[in-house]
Parts: sequence; structure tokens; C-alpha cells
Amino acid sequence: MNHIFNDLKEIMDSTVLKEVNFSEKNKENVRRSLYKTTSKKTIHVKPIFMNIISISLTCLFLIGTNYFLIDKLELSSKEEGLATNMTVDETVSNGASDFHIDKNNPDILPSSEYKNVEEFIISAKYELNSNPPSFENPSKELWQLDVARWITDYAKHFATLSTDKEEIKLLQNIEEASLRVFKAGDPIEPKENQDKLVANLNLAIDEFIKQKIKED
Amino acid sequence: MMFEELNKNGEANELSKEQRLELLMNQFGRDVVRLAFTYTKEKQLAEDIAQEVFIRCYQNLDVFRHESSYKTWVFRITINLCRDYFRSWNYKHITISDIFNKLSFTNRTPETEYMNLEKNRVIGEKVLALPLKYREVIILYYYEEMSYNQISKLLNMSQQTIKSRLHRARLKLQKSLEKGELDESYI
Repeated sequence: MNHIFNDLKEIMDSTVLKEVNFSEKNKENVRRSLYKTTSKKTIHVKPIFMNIISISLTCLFLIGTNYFLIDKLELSSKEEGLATNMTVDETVSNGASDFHIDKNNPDILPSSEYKNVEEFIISAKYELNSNPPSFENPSKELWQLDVARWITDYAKHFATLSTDKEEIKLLQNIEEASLRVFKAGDPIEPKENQDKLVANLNLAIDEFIKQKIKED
Repeated sequence: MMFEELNKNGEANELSKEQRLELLMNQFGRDVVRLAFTYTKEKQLAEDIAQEVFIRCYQNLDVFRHESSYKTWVFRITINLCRDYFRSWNYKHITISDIFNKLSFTNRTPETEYMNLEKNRVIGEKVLALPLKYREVIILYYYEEMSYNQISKLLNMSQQTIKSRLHRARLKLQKSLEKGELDESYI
């Protein structure tokens, strides 16, 4: 039995495996298959296509961004130029396009601290009823006089700028009330009760708020 | 020159992938196709598997880590591909023609075989008719003349298992030859 196993290679090679060989045709099949795979790899159609798309999209993005930036820059420079040519008062009244501004009118303040009348009214109400800053005015009375002074000026300023008759009337009331407060501090003029006058000014301001600000 | 010798001298690394593939095909081509045949017992299929083996070799030549010999590496790929085939749909759904082929193979009586075929052919057929687990150890040990250690690494089994299977395979083949029967329930 052992000789069978010892000679198994010869036995099988000469019989059942005699016809089984890795022929030149099989080798050629391997080469062809590998060549096909390699040639497919060398063309790299897909990566090239993806690169083209990627580059195109990047270019489009850059062109778009540049166009937008240039457009925006030109626009902003135009706006800047326009703004520098305008006076402060024109800027304040920019919203009222049909309104003619008389630059020589002494009632119009050259550099308003407030963008609009609402901002002024809210500030006036707050400042009139707040305590004076300790470093500036020692007494509440003096502080109220000072506040009344600028309320008078601004009420006149916004009344001159406004086209709304009702608003003008309300602002004139404020102007009148604040002027009376301011005059109460004048040593020459007869003094009235300042607290009462401040209360009247508060009422005038409240009326404006009620009529013009709350309705918005 | 043999591939392993070139590899020992470090000359194999100087060759291109294509040249190394040619060397592998020339040196192991016949062994690979015959090993595949001992598994599949179909010539065309064995050739297809052998071609696939060398395609895989080419694709993995750069990552071959030389932890085993080229022969062991190539044989391992062959055995894995053969096993993949047995697990595949194609194998599990045997065609009618295959059944007829097998019937014609099994219908031969022992008398006819001894009368018509040489003794060696019968032995070869008996070896191929062994169950796969016995057949592969017989082929690797006696036909490919591999050591227990090499077979153990190749099949990922302990040497003791290899020895035990080889012993049983010998007994089974001996019995089969004495009976003169062809056992077709081999896989």
C-alpha cells in the first residue's frame, strides 16, 4: 500500500491529471484580464470627470463671489459719496423725501443727537424724571432746568422738520411747557412752582407718547 | 531559475510585477490547476480557478509579506477559491448535465474498471473520490509533497489534526481499493 502513496504523484500525473495543465492559453487569459483591468485604471475617466466638475464649480464660485463683491463695493462707495455730500440735517430728514429743508432756519439744530422724534421723546421723558448725575448738577432743580432747555430746542427742531400737523401741535405743546420750566429758573423772571411746571411738561410728553408713539 | 531562489537572492524584488507574475505562472501554473482539479474534478472549472488565482496573485504581489513561501501563498489562494466555489450558488445548483456525467462515472462496475482501465487510473480516481477533508490532506502530503507544518499553516489546522486525517484517509483509500468501489459521497 505504501508504494501507492509514495508514487502517488506519478500515478496521478500519468492518469487522472494527465490532461490537466495550465496552458499558454490560460496564461494569455490571465494577461488579457490584467491588461484590461490595468488599462481601465490608466484612463481614470471618472476621476478626471470629477476633477473637471470640481474645478468648474470652484471657478463659478470665485467668479460669483468676485462679481458680488465688486457690485457691493461700487454700491457702498456710491452710498458713501452721497452721504459725505449731505449735511447732518439732511440725513435726519432723509425719510421725508418731499420735504424741503431750509438750512438757514435757526430752529433746526445743526447736529441732532436723535435719529427721529420718537427717540427724542423717550429720552426726554427719561431724563426729565431721573436723578441728576452727581458730578455735573448738585440739585434736581438745576438738572430739570438743564433738561428743559434742550427739550425746548429739540421740540422746536423736530416740529420744524415735521409735516404732520398733529405732531407739530404736540411738539409745540412740549416746547411751550419746557420753556416755562426753563424760565422758572431765571432769577429775573417771576418764579413759578417748578414741580408743577415739570408735571405739566410730563403731561405734554405723555400726550405725545399717547398720540404718536403708542398708536404705532 | 526557480522563483524561490530568485527571491532568496533578492533578485525577485528587482523584477517588475509582470515579470514576477510570469515566473509564478511558469513555476506554479501546473501545480495550481491540478490542485484545483483535485477539489473540483472539472477540468474547465479548475482552469478558470487557476486563472483567477494568478490574477489575485498579481493584484496582491505588492502586499505579499513573505511570511510564507510563494508556493504556500499561491496554494492558499487556490484552496480558498476552491472552497469559495463549493460555497457558491453554482455548485449548490448542479446542472442536469453534471448529474448525467456523474451517473456515467458511477455506473462503471469494478470489473469493467479493472478490465478497461489501468490500475493507476483507478487509484487516481479513488483518490479523487475520497471525501474532501481526506482528499486534500492526501493530495497536499503525497502529491504536493508538503510537510505537516506546511499543510498545517496552509489549512489553518493543528499538525495533530493533519496527521489524524491523513491516517484516516489512508485507511479509507485502502478499503476503497480493496472493495473496488467508487464512493461518490465525497464532499
